[in-house]
Amino acid sequence: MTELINKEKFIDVLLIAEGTYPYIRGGVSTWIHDLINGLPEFNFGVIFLGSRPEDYGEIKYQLPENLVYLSVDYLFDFKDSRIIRNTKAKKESFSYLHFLHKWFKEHGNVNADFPQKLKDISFYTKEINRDIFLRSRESWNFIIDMYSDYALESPFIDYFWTIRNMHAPIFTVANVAKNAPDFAIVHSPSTGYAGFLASLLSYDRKKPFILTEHGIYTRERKIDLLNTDWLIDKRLFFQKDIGEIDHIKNLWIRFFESIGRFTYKASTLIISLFSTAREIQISYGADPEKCIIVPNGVDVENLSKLIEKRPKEIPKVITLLGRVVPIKDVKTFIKAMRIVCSRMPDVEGWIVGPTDEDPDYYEECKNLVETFKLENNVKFLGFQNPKDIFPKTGILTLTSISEGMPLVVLEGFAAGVPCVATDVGSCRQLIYGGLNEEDIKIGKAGEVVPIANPEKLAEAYIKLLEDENLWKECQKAALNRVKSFYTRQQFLDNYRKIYLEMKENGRNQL
Amino acid sequence: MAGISFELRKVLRERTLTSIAKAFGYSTLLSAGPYLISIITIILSYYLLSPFVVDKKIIIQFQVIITYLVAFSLILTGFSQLMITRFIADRIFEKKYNLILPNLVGNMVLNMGLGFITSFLFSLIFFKNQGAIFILLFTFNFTIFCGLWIINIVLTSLKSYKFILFSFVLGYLAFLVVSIFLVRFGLNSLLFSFFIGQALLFFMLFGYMVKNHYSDELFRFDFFNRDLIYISLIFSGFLYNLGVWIDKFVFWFTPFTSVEVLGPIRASLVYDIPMFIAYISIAPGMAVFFLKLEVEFAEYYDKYYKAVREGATLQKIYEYGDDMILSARNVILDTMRIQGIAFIIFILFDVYLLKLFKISLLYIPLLHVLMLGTYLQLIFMAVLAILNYFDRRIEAFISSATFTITNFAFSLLTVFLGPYYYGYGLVFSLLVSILVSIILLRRFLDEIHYNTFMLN
Repeated sequence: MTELINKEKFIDVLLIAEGTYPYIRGGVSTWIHDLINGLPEFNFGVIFLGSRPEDYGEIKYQLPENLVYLSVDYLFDFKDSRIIRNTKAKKESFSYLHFLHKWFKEHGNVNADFPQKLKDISFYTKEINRDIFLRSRESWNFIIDMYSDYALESPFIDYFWTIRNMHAPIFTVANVAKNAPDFAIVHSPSTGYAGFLASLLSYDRKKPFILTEHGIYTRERKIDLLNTDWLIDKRLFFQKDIGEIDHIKNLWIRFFESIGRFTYKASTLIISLFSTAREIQISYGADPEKCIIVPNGVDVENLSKLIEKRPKEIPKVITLLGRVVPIKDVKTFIKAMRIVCSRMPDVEGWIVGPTDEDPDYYEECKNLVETFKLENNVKFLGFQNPKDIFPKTGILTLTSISEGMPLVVLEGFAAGVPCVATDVGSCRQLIYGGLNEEDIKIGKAGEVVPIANPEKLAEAYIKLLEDENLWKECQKAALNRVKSFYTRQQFLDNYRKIYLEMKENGRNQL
Repeated sequence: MAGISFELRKVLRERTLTSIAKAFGYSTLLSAGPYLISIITIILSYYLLSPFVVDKKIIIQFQVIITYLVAFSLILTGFSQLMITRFIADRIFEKKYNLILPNLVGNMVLNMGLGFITSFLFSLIFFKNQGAIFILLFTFNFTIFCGLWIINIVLTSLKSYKFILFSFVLGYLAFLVVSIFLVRFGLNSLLFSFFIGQALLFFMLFGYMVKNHYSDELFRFDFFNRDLIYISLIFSGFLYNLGVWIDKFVFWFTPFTSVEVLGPIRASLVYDIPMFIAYISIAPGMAVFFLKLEVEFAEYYDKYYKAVREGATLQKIYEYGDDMILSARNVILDTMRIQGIAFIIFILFDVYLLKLFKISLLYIPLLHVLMLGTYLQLIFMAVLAILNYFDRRIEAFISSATFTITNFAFSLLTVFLGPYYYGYGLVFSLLVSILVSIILLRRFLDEIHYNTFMLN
C-alpha cells in the first residue's frame, strides 16, 4: 500500500477506483473527477486498485484541492510475494473453507445472507491470509481436492492459476481494508474487487456504503470472459456438450456473480444511472428498495457555447468518440461508413479516442478501412479534446455492444449534436427520452439502432444527414433534454443530498 | 551439440548387446574421457619419461606439482564454476545470446587474474630458490588451469562433449611428445612441456567458444549483478571442490603421513598413489550415470514439466511425476549396480593392476578402502546432479557443506587413529553426505507437485 497523498484531514467520502481514476482516462474517471470537483464542501479520499504497476503511467488528472487522500494498490502484483516455506495453516480454517464452498454451491443463487465470517477482515488477514493461500500445503490440498471433484478434465495449470488469480486479490483487498484511513462514507463506482473492498470497509467500520454502478460489472466481466482467448478450452469436441461453457470460465463468472451479490448485500444504497440498469441490478440480486437512479450530468452551460462555433451547414462528419477497443465495436462503424460513402462520397467518419489500449484490434480496424478503400473517408484521430470535435461534427455515434450511461452522448447533446447509437445501456433513454412522460414528449434526439447492424446504422446516418429539418428537430430535442434532466448541477445536487443524509444517519439509513 | 542424448538414444534403439556396449563406450569417453586422459597421462608420464632422465625424482616432483596446481585451481575457480554455468544457462533461456561470450571471458579473465596473482605471490615467497623460470612456469600453468576449468565446465554444460574430448586428447598428446624431447633439461622443461599442452587445450576450447558465440564486446561483468546470479551456487561450487580435495590436504600436510617434495609442496605416498587408481576405477559408473541422466532421466524430466506447462490434467501430471521420480531413482540405482560390478572386477584384478603400474602390493588394503570411497563419491555426485537438475540450490549447498566438513573432520581423525583407518574418513564422510543429500532429495520429490506449483 502506497500513500501518495495524505493531507491528514478527515475523509467524508472514500472512493474506491478499480483501474480508473486518476490513472486511466474514461467515463468513470471523469465522473469521479467531476464529483470531487463539484462538491468542494466534502473531503474526498481515493483508494486506487490497479492490476500491476507496469500497466499504469502518470496521473492523468489535475488533482482537486479537496482530494485529501490517495493511495495505490495492485491486485495482481505477485512480485512482492516471496516464497515462504512451511507456511502453517490451521486445519479448522480449511474445514471452514469446505463449508463455504458447499455454501456457495447450495446458496449461491438464492438471496440468503452471507456467512458472518466472510464479512470479517480478520478472516482474510489472519485465518486464511495471502501466504497461507498461496503457499501452504493445506491450500494446495484444497485446490487439488476441488479440481478432482469438479474439473478433472480441465488443464490443471489453467485451473490452478485461475483459482490463484481469482482469489489472490481478495487478500490484497483485505489488507487494504485493514490499513485504510477513517472515513464517514465509502463509495464505490463498481462491484468487483472495488465493491468487495468497500463492503469489507463498511462492515468493519460500521459506516454507510454507496454503490454507484456505471455499467453492470458482473455482466461486463461475463461478456469479457466469454470472448477471451486466453482461456482456451483445450477439451476435444466430444468431451463437451454443445453450448457448454468450460468449467474455468464458469468459475470466473460465478466468482464475479458472488462478489456482485456480496457487494449488493453490503451496500446501503445502490445507485444506477438509468432504469434498465436498475432492473438488471435487481435481477442480479440487489434489493429493489435500496436501488435508486441518479443520472449523470454534463456541463451544459459551457458546452452550449460551442453551438455558436458551428458552421451554417451540417458538417458531413460522423464522429465515433471512444477508445478503439472491441466493446465499442468500431468495425461495425467502419462497415456502416462503407454503405454511407457509396451514397454520399463526401461524408467523413472520424474515430476519436486512444488507440493504444488494444493494438491488435486497432490494427484490424485499420486493415478493414484499407480493405473497404475508405482511407479518404474514415480517419483515426487519436485522443482529442471533444470540445474541438463537436462543432465540426454532424452526427455523434456510438456502436458499442455494451454501455452504461455514456456521458459523451450528453455532452454532444449540450453542444448541439444529435446522436445515433446502438440500443445498449441508457442510449434509448437518452435519445428517445424515458425518464418520465415529460421526457418522452421532448422527442427524438437522434436514432437508436440494433447492435452489430451496419445497414441500420448507415440508414440512420443517411436519413439524418440528408434531411436537414429532421436534423434540426433532433438538435432541438437534444438541447432541450440535456438542459431539463442532465445538467451537472442536478447531478451534483443529488449526490450532495445523498452524502448529507448518509453522514447523518449512518448505516441504518435507506 | 545438444544432440548427444539423441545420438546415444539412436545407438540404443538397435537393442543389441553390441549397441549397448557401443553406447556405453561412447558414454564413457564423453563423460569420463577428459579426467581419465589427464590422470592416466600424468601417471604414464612417469613410465614413459623415466628412460630419458638420470634422476627420476624430477618426474615425481613434476607429478606432485601438477596435482597441486589442479587441486588449488579447481578450488579457486569453484566459486565461479556453478555460478557462471547457471548465469549462462539463464541468459540462453532469455535468448540474450550476445551476453554469453563477453561474460564468460569476463569471468575467465577474473579467475585467471586472481589465479595469477595468488600463484605468483605464493611462488615468489616459497620457490625463491628455484629461480625465476620456475616461478614463471608455475604461475603460468596455474593461471591457464584457472581459465581452463571455467571454459571446460561451461562447454560441458553446453554439451560440447565431443570437442572437449578431442581437445584433451590433443593437448595431452602434445605434452607427452614435447616432454619426451625436453625432459632431459630438468623439471623446468617438464613444466614448460605441460604448459604447451595446456595452452593448446585451453586455446582450442576457447576458440571453439568464440567461434560458436557472437558478441560485439570482449568483456562484460554482468555476473556481478546480484539479481542475475545465485549466491548459493558460488558457495556450493567452492565447497564441493574443497570437499573433494580436503582429505588429500589432510594427508599432505600431516607430517607423519607425508614427505617433502619441493619447498612447501608435500605428497603422501601412502594415500596419493592408491587414490589415483581409485579414481580411475569409477569410470564405468560415470559412464552409466551419464547415459542414464542424459538419455533417460532428461526425457522424463522434460515430459513432466511440459505436462505442467502445457495444460495436462492433474492425473497426467501425477503419472509423469511418478515416472520421473522412478527414473531419478534408477539413475542412482543403476549407477550403484554397474559401479558395484566394476568394483568387484577391480578387486579381483587388483594384484595385476598394481603390478602393471609397478606399485607395491602393500597398497592393496588402502586401495580397497579408497575404491569404496570413490564409489560413494560417484553416488554422491549423482544425487547432487539430480538436485541441481531440479534447481534445489539450498539442498545442494547443504549437501556440499556436509561433505566438506565431514571429510575434513573424519580424515583428520583417521590420520591420528593410525594407518589401519586411512581412507575411512572419506568413506564415512560420503556415507553421511549421501544420507543427507538423499533425505533432502526425497523430501523434495515427495512433494514435487506442491513444490512445482505452490513454491515457484
